[in-house]
Parts: sequence; structure tokens; C-alpha cells
Amino acid sequence: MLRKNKKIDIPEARKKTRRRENIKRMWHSFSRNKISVIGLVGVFLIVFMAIFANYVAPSPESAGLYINFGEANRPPSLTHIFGTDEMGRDILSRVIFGYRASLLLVVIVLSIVVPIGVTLGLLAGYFRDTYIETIIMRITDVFVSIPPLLLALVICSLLTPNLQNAMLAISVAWWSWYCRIIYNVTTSLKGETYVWSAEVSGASYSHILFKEILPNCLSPILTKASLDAGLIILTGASISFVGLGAQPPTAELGGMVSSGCKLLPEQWWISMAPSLAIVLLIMCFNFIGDGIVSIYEKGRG
Amino acid sequence: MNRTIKVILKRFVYLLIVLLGLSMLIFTLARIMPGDPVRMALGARAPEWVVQRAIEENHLDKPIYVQYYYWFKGILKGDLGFSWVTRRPVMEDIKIFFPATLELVLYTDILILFFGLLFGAIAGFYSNTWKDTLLRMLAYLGISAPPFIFAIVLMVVFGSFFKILPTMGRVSEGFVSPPVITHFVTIDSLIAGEFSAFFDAIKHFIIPVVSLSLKPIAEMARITRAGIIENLEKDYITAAKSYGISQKVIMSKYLLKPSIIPAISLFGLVSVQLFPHAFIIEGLLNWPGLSRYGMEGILNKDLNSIIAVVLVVGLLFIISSIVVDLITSWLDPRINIREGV
Amino acid sequence: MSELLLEVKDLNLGYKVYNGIAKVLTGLNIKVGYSEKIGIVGETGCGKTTAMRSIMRTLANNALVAPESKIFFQGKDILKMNNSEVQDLRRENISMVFEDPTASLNPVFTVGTQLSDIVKGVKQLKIKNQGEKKLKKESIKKQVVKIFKSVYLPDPERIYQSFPVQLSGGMRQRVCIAMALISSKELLIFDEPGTSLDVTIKDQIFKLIKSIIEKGNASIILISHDLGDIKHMSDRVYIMYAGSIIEEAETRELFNKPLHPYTEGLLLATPKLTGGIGQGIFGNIPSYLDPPKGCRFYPRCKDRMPICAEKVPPMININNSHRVACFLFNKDKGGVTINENR
Repeated sequence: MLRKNKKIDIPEARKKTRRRENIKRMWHSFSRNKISVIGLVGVFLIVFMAIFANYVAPSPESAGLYINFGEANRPPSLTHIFGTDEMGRDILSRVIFGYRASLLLVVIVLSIVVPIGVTLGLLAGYFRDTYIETIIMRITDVFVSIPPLLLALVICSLLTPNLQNAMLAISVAWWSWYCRIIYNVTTSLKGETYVWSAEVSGASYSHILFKEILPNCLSPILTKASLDAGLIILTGASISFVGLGAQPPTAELGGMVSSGCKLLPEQWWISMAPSLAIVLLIMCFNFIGDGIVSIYEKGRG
Repeated sequence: MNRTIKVILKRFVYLLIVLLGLSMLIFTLARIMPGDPVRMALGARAPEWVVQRAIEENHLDKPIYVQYYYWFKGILKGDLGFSWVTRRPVMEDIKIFFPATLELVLYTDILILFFGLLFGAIAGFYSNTWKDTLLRMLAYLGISAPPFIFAIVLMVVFGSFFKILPTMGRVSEGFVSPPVITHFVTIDSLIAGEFSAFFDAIKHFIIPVVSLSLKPIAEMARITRAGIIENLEKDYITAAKSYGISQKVIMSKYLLKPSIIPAISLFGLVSVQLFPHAFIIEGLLNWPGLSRYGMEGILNKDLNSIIAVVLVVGLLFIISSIVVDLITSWLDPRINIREGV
Repeated sequence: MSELLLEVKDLNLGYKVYNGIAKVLTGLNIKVGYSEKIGIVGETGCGKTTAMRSIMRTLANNALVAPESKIFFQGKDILKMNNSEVQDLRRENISMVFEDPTASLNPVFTVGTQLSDIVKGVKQLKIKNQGEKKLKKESIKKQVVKIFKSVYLPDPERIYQSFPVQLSGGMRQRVCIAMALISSKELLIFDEPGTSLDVTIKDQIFKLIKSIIEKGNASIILISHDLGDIKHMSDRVYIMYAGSIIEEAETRELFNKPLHPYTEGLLLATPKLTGGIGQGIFGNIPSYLDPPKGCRFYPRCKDRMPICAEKVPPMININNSHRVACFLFNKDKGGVTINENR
């Protein structure tokens, strides 16, 4: 009985320390770039603001239907750091709530796209020369033949414009790129010895796919996902800019830019503030993305 | 050489089939369409029997595969259907609007290729100096800002504030469009010898081309820089140095060529990715191009024009990826195009 | 005019890495005479290539050379030359053939293009010094084809137009040798030629090197971890370990009478026809970031003494040409200390 317990415990403990060492090593490479750390801090701040938007924003009512024509079109001042829009709403508050929508977009889209795309890629790459590969990859080929923003716009146009549908549209347009990358990685890994030995020892398909091949795909997945975060926000902003995303009065950054466009150039802050917010958020994600790339970069001895 | 042509043809045919699959996809998505485009196009006051007849004529009452069959038959004849928005055959619309967008995209591509490689090369050669740091910071800005935001900023600064650049259309009022030969306003005006019209046309290009090209230039510069830095430490560069080849030759020839290969592949992608962004910018600037036409189609749920525009973009993507593959295999002999797709 | 073609004097070199300085070379002293064949033996990572790169001045940016180090070529200090002088040196006097021929050839240019560029460089030098005229493209190509023939490359015209990826390993190595031979050289350095080739091809390459030496009267430095190659090709041998020379002697004497425990171990490790499979030397080379205080071979030495851990053994003269850096030969064997290693 004691021996049985030992067998289970030691590998577990070893796994834990190995994981801790790996994480330490990754953090060491990541933190060498000061830029990436700045990006990480920035994203944390923005996430914090978004989660506690109700408490952080000076005027949470501004995020929804709120009319105060007395305060309308005020330029940036001490009371309204980003000024007010044509309805009298505080733009800073709207921007903070708008961050909520953008962050939600990234999280949900990646949570849908990465599992589906990776799984399909694993299946297609492993079961090569079967109908599984053919079906999956032909469909993937169709989806990657046009720019994702375009496909997302088309899908959004066919559905009612709101935030959920925008998320859906972007997910539909995005999954195929992950499938393709993982497919390429899987096909090249398929000939590796450890895969072959797992097959020979009778491992189940799910074990081979998820415990042998998947850990080696981690680097391209993480790299791509971190660079995609910025792109997804950009796509989302573009979709709502043309009016196919969240509808007013919901606070959404792209929509705010577009509604402020009509009032250019006199009331420039109405569209410039959300523009700045978009650029800042995407920039922080790109900083992080570069840091993650440098984790997996081959070091110089 | 023959085998290369065979492989290209095979690839092209395969990708055409992919295009067909794409059209089927859009058709299927259209099934989810909640609105009623026919009624939208004909107006709320159109009598019911007119709407009914329009539906019948366009086979909109039949199942999706029948609709697709009719559409496909039309494609083979060169007929892309009828646009509800412009009340014209889509084919005609495309012939009118495509050259404007093509001209825009071509100028953007030239800028991207030139400046992307140039800035990337500078950043790579002078890596870790102030030139490199400055370029890298600018590149972060470039990849982080959506093109439409650049366009808006440029419009505000140069269009309204400084009033030196036009913000609408391709030619200003008061200028007669030059005789149409190549459908490219700039080239046509040059051919016709109307230099004032030429300069006016160029001025109109500045805002859209600059805003569309900033992000791709940044991406190209980054990948070129990474390529140069990676290759700088390669053994064959040290070897070339040790055989006495001059630093100038090494930098401009031996280092540059392998470093731009990943950049060229990226170029194939970015040159098409800018189409949907061009959609938005053409709308902002009232540019009479294919992208705006497509945007109107999207906003009005005009199925025929949407499909046509998507297919045009898809076709361009296929062509660009084949061209990029050809160029890459010519640059890098390790990639053997005879090996197939 | 000195009698030595090349003299490396007190070469101390370190690499700056992000967590410190790796002290790679310590007190390296190498002498190469005219028309002399020198062998340098050492295991992977002992610093042989770094030493050669110091001679060619192709060190990485993070290399730090101590100010007292000198490398004299025909009396002039290479380390103090300016860029243009170094370039002339590379074009006219010294050449190096690298370990991996595939990595030394630029994959996106034809072999002919790369050699033509070298010819152009050499020609530039001649134009500068002797006022020769510029070469035309055809005559450059003719020169390249001639060189190809001299390294016994079959079908040199076709090879001229080939890319490195289209050539076999042996051909690539010959191309690299051709690159080294283009101008009349006085010193040729071969860094582990034939390591990445299979044995039969390696044999051909060595035959080629031998014929080159016999034809001209260049000096060569042959680096290898294979003692067999060194035995056949060199007049004198230096044994390197962890960044310093630990023994040097004429070839025959070294093989008959190896003194340093490391050298003994190396010889034992070679499988012989008469003996059985060789025995290895257990352990690894020490870390360069935190090198041991005394002799760097101390952890692996079977004959180690307490003093070996405390002080770095100086180079001791055994006879006129045989020297060894080991405390075993101090005092009791009547050795004379020449210079202290730092």
C-alpha cells in the first residue's frame, strides 16, 4: 500500500517542480525585455479598470443611455478628462466601459478559436491521408483564402448587429488559421520517435494527440495567440466602426470613433479619445506578444 | 521549366475550386439572412406583386442549391447577377469600380515593398543603435493603430487643419477626368499630358495610400529586421568576411538576399489583407472603388455584389500567393517548387 | 624580419554573456614557422575555433581580448591592425577553411558567384598594390574554373552555376578549400576538415590537403579532435584543453612520449588495431564562467596533486621542443619553468 502511494506521489512532485522551473525560466526570458513588462503592466491596469469599471469610471451612467445636453460637447478639462460627447456623456467613462467590450471580445474569441482550431489541426495532421484530413483541410483552405476581417464583415452583415454576433463572426473567421498552423506542426512531429513509441505501446489516440504532440505545439500557439490579441481587437474595432458591432448607446470603442467622426474637426476629442484608447490597448498586447516570442526564440550561447 | 508551369497550373486550378467553395460558403451564410433584401431594395411602398415577381425572377424562393446552380451557370457566362443597390449588373459595377481600387492597392503595395524593406534593413544593419530603437518604436505604433484611425487623423490634420490634402474622391471638382485608356487616373493623365490633373490625382492618393500602408510597412520592417539580425550571426557571413569579401558587398548582397525571403512571403499576405481595411477607408474618403462598393453591398445585404467582391478578393489572394511562391523559390534555391504544392 | 610566420603571444580572451564573462582563452602561445605544418588537438568547446577566429579577426562582438595579447604575423600585430589592413591580410596572406562546409556557403547564391566575389576582392587588393587592371567577368570565371580543377572538382563549369544545396558534402568541402586557395596564401588554417563527412570522403579531402601542401610551401594549421589525422599531417602538435595549451611537441615525440595526463587519455581513447576499444576520459570541460582556480583539468585528472587545485601549472620545458603545463613535471623531473600562465 505504501509503495503504491509513493509511485503516484514522486512523479507528481517532479512534475510540479519541473513546471515551476519552466515557468521561472519563461519569466526570466520574458522579463528581459522591458517593453514586454510595460505591456504586461498596461494590460493588467486596463483589465483592472474594465472589471471594476463601475467603481473606476467617474460617471458610470455615461456608458449607457444618458442624456445631459447641458454638458454636451465639452472639451477635455479637469472634470472630464476626455471631454464629453454630443449627448453629454463623459467620454473617459465610456472608454473604460468600452475596454470591457474589447477585452471580452479577445477572451471569448480566443477561448473559442484556439480549442477548436487546435483540435481540428491535431486531428487533420495526425490522421493524414484519410478522409478526416481531407474534409478538415479542404474546409480550412476555403476559410483561409480570404482576409479574416472581410469574412467577419460579411458574416456580421448577414446577422443582427450586436456584440455577440461580432464575436461569433470573428471566431468563424479566425479558427482556420490555428487549424492550419497546428496541422503543419503535427505533420512534422508525427514522425518523431516519441510519437512512434507511444503508438507502439498502445496509447490511445487522445493520449498521443494531447499528451505527446500538443505540448510541442505550445510555442506556436502561445506566440500566435499573443500576437492575435491585438489583431482581434483591431478587427473588432473595425467592425463596430462601420456599425456592424455593438450598437449605440452601448459604449464600444470603434463605434465611439465613428460617431465622433461626424463632429470632426471641431470636437476632435470625441473620436480621438477612443482612438487613443484602442491604440494603447493594442500596443500593450503587441508588447506582450513580442515578449512571448522572445521566450521561444533560440538563445545565443 | 515545363514542370514548374504544370505545378503552377495545378495549384491554380485547386485554388479556383477553393474559391468555389468560398462562394458556396457565402451562399450558405446568406440563408441565415434575417432581413428581406428584395423589399429593402424595392422600397417599402412597392406593391406585393412586384416584390413577388422580383423574388421569382431571381429564384429567391427556391432552395439554396438551386439558387447556387443558377448563379454558377451565370458565372460561366460571365454574368454575376444583378445588384439591388446600383440597379446594374454586377459585372458592370466591377468593371467600373475595380480599377480605382486596383490603382490604390498597387500604389500602396509599392510603398509597402519599398519602405518596409528599407526600414527593416536600416533597423537590422544598425541594430541596437538609436536608429534601430527609433524605428522599432515607430513600428509598434504602426502595427497597433487600425488604418481607419490613421486615415481619420490624417484627414483632420492635413485635410482640415492644414488644408493641403483633399479628402474626397479621386479628382477634385473643376478637373475633368482624363480620357480613359488604362482606367488608372494617374497614368491616363500622364499619357494625356495633363500634368496638373496628374498632380491633383496624386494628391488624392496620399491619405488613403499612407493610411493603408503604415501597418503593413511596420510588419514588413519587423520581419526584415528579424531576418537580418538572425542571418548576421550565420556562419556563411563570417566565412565571407574571412575570405576578404568587402563589408559593403556582404551587407548589400550576402546578407540582404536571404533576409528578405520571409519578408516576401509576408508581403503576399499583407498585400491582400489590406483589402477589407480599404473597404473602410474608401468609405471614409468617398473613394469610388470596389471596396466601397463591397461595403455598400455588405451594409445593404446585397448578396450578388457581396459574393462578387469576396470572389474578386479571393482571386487576387490566389494570384498573389502563387506569385509570392514563385518569387520565393527563385530567390531561395532550397525551396524546390517542383516538389509540388 | 622575424623567423616566425605567425606567433600568438599570451592570448587572453573572454566572451561577455548576460550573466558574466566566460574566460575562454588563457595565456595561449602558438608559434608557426614558414612552411611548417602545425596540428592543434582538443575536444569540442576547448577554444580552438575561437583562437583561430582571433587570428582572422572574425570574433563576435561580445569577445573581449586582453590588451597584453598579441598575434604577430610576419612581425606585425594582427590585433592592432585597422580594418583595411585586416581585409588585406585575409585576401592575401591567411585563409581559413571552416568546420561545416554547408554552413559556410551562402545558400541563396551560386557557388560560382561566391567565388567570383572573392576573386574580385583579391583583385582589388592587387589593383591597389601593384596597379593591375580590372578583370572582366569572363576572366574571373576562368580563374574560378581553374581553381575548381585544382581541387579536383568534376565538371567545374556545371559546379560554377550550382547552388550549395545541389552539391554533395564532399563537393562543398572542396569548394570551401577552393575559396581558401584563391590567392597565394602563406598560412592556411583547416578547422576540423572532414568532420561532417563520412570516412571515405574525409580521406579524399585529406589527400587533397596533402597535395596542396606539397605543391606550394604554405604553412598550415590543422585543427582536429582526431589524433590520427594529426599524426599524418603535422610536424608539430599543440594539445589544447579548456582554453590553454597544455602540451606541445614534435609529432613523433608526442605520440611516443605523451606527458600530460590528458594527452595520455586522448591517446588511450583512440581505438587501435592492436588494442581493443578505447577508454574515454570521464567528466566534462569546466565552466568558463566560473573556472577552477588551479589547473583546469584537475577534476578529471587521474594523477592530480593538491597543488594542482591551487595554482595554474606553468609551461615547463622538457627538451627544446617538448613543453608541458603540468605540475607532475616540475621540480622532480628537472623541468625548467619558462613563463607563468595567468
